[in-house]
Amino acid sequence: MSWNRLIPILLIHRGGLWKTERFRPKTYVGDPTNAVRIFNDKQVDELIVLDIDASKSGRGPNFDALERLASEAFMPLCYGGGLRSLEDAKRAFSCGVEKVAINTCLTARPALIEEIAAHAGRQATVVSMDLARQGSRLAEYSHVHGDIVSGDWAAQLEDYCQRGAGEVLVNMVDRDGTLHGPDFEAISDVAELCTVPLIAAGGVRDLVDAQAVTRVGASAVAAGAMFVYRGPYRAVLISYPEPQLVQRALQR
Amino acid sequence: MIGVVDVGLGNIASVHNMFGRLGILARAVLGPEDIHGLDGLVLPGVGSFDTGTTSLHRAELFDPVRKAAADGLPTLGICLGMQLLCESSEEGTTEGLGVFPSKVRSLTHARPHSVVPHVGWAGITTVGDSPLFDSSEPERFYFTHSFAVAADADSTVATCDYDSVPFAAALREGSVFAVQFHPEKSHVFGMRVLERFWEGPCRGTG
Repeated sequence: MSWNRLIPILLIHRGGLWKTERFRPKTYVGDPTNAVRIFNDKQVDELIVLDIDASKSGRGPNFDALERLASEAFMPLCYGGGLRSLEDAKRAFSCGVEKVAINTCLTARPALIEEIAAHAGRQATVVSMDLARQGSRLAEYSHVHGDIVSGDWAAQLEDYCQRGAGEVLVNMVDRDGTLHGPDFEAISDVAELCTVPLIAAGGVRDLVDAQAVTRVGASAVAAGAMFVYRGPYRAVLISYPEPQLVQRALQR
Repeated sequence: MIGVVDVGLGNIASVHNMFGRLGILARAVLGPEDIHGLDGLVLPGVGSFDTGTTSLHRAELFDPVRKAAADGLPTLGICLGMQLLCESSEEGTTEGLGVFPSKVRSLTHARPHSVVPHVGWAGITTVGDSPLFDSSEPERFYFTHSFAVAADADSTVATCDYDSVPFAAALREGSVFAVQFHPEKSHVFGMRVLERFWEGPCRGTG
């Protein structure tokens, strides 16, 4: 039996764990290492940790913090944020992460994808792309600039798949942290072009949403708010569905 | 003492973390001199087949690892480490360690349109005798790979399938073990595999 993965995304902001809404930090969730421990106990399929300040502030990754966090993670761990070179990626791997995520619009050198894939293998090389709606069309969004970036995201996506991306993480900015449900049409469009496993994020409320996301072509479902909010008033409480429920809902 | 081969093939820290959590002493094996005195050897690794063999040669560990395994030192290959213990791979042109008489093939060999790499969790089916698994309880493991050994290889002790094509999830020849998944990233299920490797083959109590 195998199933598609359900992956919590942890966002690091000012050294703490935060949940964003439409990419703006909104709610303080807690201590990152403690959250990793909790997700460990809950036997999550995988974790994605993104430092949302690292590129914006220009300081790069906090490798010491990453090492502390990774030492608690007995599940696959992907790190993204401020990685600019193969050397950065190598340091992240030596901290104990399996995969690094490179955000496309921040990468001046697409060859970095090839370099990381050649060094650590495709499976360790995740390309992350943030997409926003512009009317009926999709456009790439930069969290550093807080705005849409010009360019053909579809052509870029195909290019990065060819260059050696092992997985593509696509986050739908307009749905981020809203718990309004996923943008199925967008995910379907992306899945159509993506020749490697697609991890789709944005708006996922529950296992029903997650299952529907995989039905339109994603290989994995990532979410934030679903795992940190509880109840109508959105009290902060870290949770993850029982593994058997995840496996049943996302069986492939 | 367990030795963990460290020739720059990916995430070694996770393997050390898990042995640390289990209270099992492990040290890095950086060169041939580090193999002496070990109770067991772990050959982890991610990356391409040729990078793996080349890295082992560069560290002057290729022949010593092959000899240690042949001489009966309990050895566990993980992911690329499993593939390196085979004869050769479709992924590369170099010669493997050859402990398992198998050739590693692409997951797209039988099914050209499969999306690779295969990334994710899966259960396994034990088909042979291995002290590393407990077939009486459901175990699940994390896989991430584009190449694999055929399920019907002589050394296969557990199978898995991807896109309806079966492949070998684990191999065994005497005291040499190999798993295609990542026990160091498979929660308590993987922790038990590493613990059983230590308690059984390495300490001779299993």
